[in-house]
Amino acid sequence: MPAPVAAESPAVLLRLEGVEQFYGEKIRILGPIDLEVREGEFLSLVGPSGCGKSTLLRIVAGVLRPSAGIVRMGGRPLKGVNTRAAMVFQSFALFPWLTVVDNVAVGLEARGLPLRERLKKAEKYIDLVGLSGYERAFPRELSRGMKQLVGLARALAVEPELLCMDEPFSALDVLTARTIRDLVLDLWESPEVMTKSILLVTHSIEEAVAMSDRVLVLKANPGRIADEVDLRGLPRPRRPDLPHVRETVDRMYSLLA
Amino acid sequence: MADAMQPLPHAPIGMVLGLLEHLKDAPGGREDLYKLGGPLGYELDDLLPVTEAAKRLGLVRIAAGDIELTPEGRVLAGAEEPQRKERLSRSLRKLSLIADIRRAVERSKRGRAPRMRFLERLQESFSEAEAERQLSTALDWARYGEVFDFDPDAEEFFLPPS
Amino acid sequence: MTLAVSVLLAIPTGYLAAKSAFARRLILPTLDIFQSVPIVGFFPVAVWGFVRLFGGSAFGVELAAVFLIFTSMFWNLAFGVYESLITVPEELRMAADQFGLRGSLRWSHLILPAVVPSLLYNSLVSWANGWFFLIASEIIAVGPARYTLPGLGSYLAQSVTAGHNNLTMLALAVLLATTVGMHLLLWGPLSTWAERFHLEESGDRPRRPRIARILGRSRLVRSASLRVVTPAAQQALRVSGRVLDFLGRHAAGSAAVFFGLAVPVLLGYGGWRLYLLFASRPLAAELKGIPVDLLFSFLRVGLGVLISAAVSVPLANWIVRRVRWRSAALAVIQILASIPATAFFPVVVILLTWGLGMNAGAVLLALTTMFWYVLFNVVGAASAIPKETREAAFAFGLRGPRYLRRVFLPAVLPSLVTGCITAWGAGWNALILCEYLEAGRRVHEVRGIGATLDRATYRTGDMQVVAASLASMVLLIILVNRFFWDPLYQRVAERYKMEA
Repeated sequence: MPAPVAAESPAVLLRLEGVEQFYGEKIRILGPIDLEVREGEFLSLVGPSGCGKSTLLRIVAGVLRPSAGIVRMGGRPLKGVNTRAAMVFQSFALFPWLTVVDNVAVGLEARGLPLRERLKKAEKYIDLVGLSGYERAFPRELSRGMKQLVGLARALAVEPELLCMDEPFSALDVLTARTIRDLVLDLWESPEVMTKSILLVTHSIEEAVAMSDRVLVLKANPGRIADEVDLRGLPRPRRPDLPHVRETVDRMYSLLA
Repeated sequence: MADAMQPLPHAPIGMVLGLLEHLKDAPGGREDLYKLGGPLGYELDDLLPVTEAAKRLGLVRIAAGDIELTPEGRVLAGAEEPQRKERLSRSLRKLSLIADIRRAVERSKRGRAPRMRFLERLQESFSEAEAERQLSTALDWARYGEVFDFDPDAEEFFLPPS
Repeated sequence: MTLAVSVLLAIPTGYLAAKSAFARRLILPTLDIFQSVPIVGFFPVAVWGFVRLFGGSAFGVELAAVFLIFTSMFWNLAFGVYESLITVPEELRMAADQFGLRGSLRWSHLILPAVVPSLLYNSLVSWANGWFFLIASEIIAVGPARYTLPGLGSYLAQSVTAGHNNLTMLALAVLLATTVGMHLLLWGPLSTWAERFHLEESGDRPRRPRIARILGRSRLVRSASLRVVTPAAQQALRVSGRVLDFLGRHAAGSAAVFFGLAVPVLLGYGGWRLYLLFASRPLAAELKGIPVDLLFSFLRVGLGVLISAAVSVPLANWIVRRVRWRSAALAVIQILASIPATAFFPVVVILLTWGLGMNAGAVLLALTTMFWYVLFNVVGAASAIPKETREAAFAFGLRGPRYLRRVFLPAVLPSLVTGCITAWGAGWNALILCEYLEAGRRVHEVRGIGATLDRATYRTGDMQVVAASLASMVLLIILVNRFFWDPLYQRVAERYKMEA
């Protein structure tokens, strides 16, 4: 849920302190990184390939342990997998041997929810992303857009406070990507979805500008935060043809160059 | 039935809906056909079945190199779920393959119809590979409209719980 | 059955190999060596060992047979498990981590499903191989005493030896019927169920395996087996997940200790006894003949490989061309391939009595096993040649032998080599059985290491000869693998990879 406009500085949901990642002993891939994601905020990480943004996201999700530094979720340091976050993957990462509904329920199954409850919850989120009717389909029967919708439903089903998305639209065609982007924003604002903040990793500046409250620009070798752009002033919806949107995009391109 | 022999164009229903969305934003709900290709990144191979499908469902009209939303298409493009799904479902049920399967499922006592039966019937008019594709496309559309669903373990179509 | 046990043991082994690099260094080479070693040769040793343990009873021989069959299955399965696990896409593993799939859920939702396709395929092949060894081992003699185990195999062998040709035919028919039945009722439905575990992304519905299509046209049989087999298989998956997780948590430590200790201990003991064997009495005269024996056998296996390759390539091309016949032809081949070579003994014996030389006979028998491996691999690669490539070749006037040489052969070369490697290994196994046959009242044999081994096992009982011939054979195989096949495969795979 986006933060209400007139609130004073909202609570910090995620904080990275001095996070670094090495490859082997000597090669520094990432860091040191300090960043914050506040409650109700949509934050994007933009950068060229090799800047470590996906690595950073995996550290946030807790599937990768940083070589140094602390990840704090809601103030407490993270130990192991981040159970208050959920991830959507670039290549969808659906289990090909599970039906749509089983895929969506997988996180709930891992948390020990009994069968009936998790099916009900899974169906709720399948409905929310617009895939009702496809519960019993297998991933290979679905188009790429639909696969990513399943990925999205699966992440939302565990009702995470933070949604982490790793280049979720880069494998999709233009039209489908646009549709799903709009859907993500709609769901984020909907009262049905409990997610407070979204962390998006993308290599598309246009995408970052279209969706985020704040954008962090990363540079490579080693990966580090080079710039921060505050987009809270830009009203939504941000159609790409609107002049101030185009201006912002131009500005960011020059930042990266 | 006249359209019993007409094969379903192989386009995922999602792309048909995407086409509607795109045309909705175009001025007058109309676009040059050639413009659909390049900027959207679609190949002709992918595009033709989609426009065919949209035409078959009565959602667009194609004339003189232009593609335009019909009144029905306009309503659907502007509709929200679940009204859109309901409306489209009505058009889907008019297609003979989907209608046949639905009827078979409704009539059966267990509410199930074996896939083989339809495959064999289709193979009278089409090659085996094409018959398989027809059923896949029909299933994809039927699933969207919640007309029927498929159980791969028993290889049967069945009525989804409403 | 033995297959189930092998599967159960293969999974943890392969998993261990995939998980820990240390285990990998130990396990993989072991697997590699044992995979290529002809199992049949070890049977006398195994029988001798087990019989000693169980005081000369028939139970000891049964156990030896089981052990033999187990070892023939285990290596392939474990290797398959290992390979499946390392090819799981990273994002999938990450998703499993992210959503908290641990313990038995991780087993049943990630690890086991990844492993099922290779396990199923290898089981199918192992099953066929198992019959081969079963029949071979059901009649075995160690030294002057002959142990016979009850079963189809010994029935077959006895009827061959006694010269009752029609009884032999009957036994063969039973075997054939069993094989077909298994395909229809078990392997077919299982393959269908296993389709969902294939990791490659394919846009539309993948094709049904040919066996299921051709043989399973009968709706009744298919739906019945689908309704029984699939739910059973799913349930087995869940239960296995729980069992393996439990084992993993409680038994992993002791298993590692066992492996770490048992293997060196066994090797040490074996080595010591071997030493005793050769040191305790003067070397047998026959040992001198071993190198030449080896040479002859080597030539035979080599010839078998060449023939298999030479015939498979055009045959595969022919099969793949005729689309309508393809499914039927493949179904037939699959059935033929699952008939163990030992079942063909009687046929060859009959040919022998008609004057066919034993040399040719031995090669022919070996071929019945070797040929299918090569053919399968080549056909697989041939079907993967994109239609456009074929059409382009046709358009440029590449036909007949020129097409084969310029287009077809390079395309299938990697698979051809893989098939030949497998055939090479299988050929040695077959030769051990084929070079020395007792049929009717005559003994047919040729000069070769297999004959030497068999003679020592069946007639003279001279363990020195047995040990020496086995050892030299294993050594030769390993050397050829290491210095010929592996480098060849590396080079071929690099140059002739078909870019998708």
